Amino acid sequence: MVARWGIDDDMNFEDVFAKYQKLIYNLSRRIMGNDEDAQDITQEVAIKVYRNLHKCKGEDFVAAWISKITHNTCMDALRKRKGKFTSSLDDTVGFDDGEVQVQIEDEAIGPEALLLQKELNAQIETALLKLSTEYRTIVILRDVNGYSYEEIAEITGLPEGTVKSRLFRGRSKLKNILLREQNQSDLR
Amino acid sequence: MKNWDEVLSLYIDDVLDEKQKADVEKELAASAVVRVKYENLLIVTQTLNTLSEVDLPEGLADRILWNTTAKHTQKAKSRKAQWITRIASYGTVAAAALLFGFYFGINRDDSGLYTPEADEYSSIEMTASLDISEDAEFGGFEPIGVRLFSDENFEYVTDAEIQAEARTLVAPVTANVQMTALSNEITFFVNDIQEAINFFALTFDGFQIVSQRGDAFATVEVPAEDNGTLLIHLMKIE
Repeated sequence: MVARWGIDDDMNFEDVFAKYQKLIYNLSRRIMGNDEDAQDITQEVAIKVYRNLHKCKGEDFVAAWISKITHNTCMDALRKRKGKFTSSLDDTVGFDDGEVQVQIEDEAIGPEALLLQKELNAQIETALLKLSTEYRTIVILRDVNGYSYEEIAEITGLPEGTVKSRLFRGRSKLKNILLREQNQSDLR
Repeated sequence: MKNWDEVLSLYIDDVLDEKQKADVEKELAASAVVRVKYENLLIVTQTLNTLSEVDLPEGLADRILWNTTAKHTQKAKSRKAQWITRIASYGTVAAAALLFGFYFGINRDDSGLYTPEADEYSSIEMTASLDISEDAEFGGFEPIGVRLFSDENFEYVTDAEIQAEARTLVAPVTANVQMTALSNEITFFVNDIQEAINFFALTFDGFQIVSQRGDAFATVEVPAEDNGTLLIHLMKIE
């Protein structure tokens, strides 16, 4: 469980921040989609960690605890700007709930198509940003950060079933975005 | 009909029971379509798994640490030292006046604040020793070495090592201070933030942070009316 945090008395904020600053920055950077927001979020998370470090009870949970704070801080920031900004990229992908628009035939090009793509890492980072936040966050927590379903449920406050469904949908969408871009690239 | 994306996602995460896994593997062997789906999905998850972490932009971690810890400790220190600062500040201002007075007053703008010229300190090198009177409530500054020069960006930098001995109530405090003067501000850079905060909390009443550049924490303004003292603003964050 992630709900009960723990931290040794001899661990101080500076040590914790030194160890987890990259986790905070990279998670927020991927959720928010840009460096500037990630810097602000990292600062905000640092203050929250600093103020609440005494609540921690176990070193094993610090990463998940910090991820939860980071996730919540990102969600708060995104909520605040809701209405001011919507992702046009999401719109262009245009998924209906659970239904991918890329047809099965597209996958017939085979896995080698994805394998042959240069700079797949960069492409997948870009493709991640085309997912809506709800899918992106779960995919990042699972596939980039390696958290279990249970941990992701704790971090996000979602039921495990929702985590599972968002994960497979997010992965499918991501795969299809890459395939679609591959197809477009082949057409050029 | 099975949603193969869902099943394959669970299969990749190894959370299916043995029978479900056997069903998937049977389908993978039989169906090229499912196999392609699986392989593409696997590539995506494996690629995500290997995404590298980027480093924080240079200076960000230090800035965050400073912003985070200083804001909190500073308040506590200020409260503790409040009554001491009232006693000490007069002597310290006098000491600072002696320290800075020998090169301030050279060039003042209409607002009354000192503004260095680009070439003003480019070749000046000087040292001074000040011995504050035993009568001062706050201790002495000695010795003081000051080297002034400008870089290409016309930022005026002085290096100084100031040993400040708090003779009232507290153990001696040593602060290694680098001073950067830009425009009409003298900004202090210190090697030990906490020590500097302690030092200035004990020294000045109501100090102000005007820069969040890592270890910068104070400015000094020089009024036009030089009547032998300097107006020193050490300002609080926020």
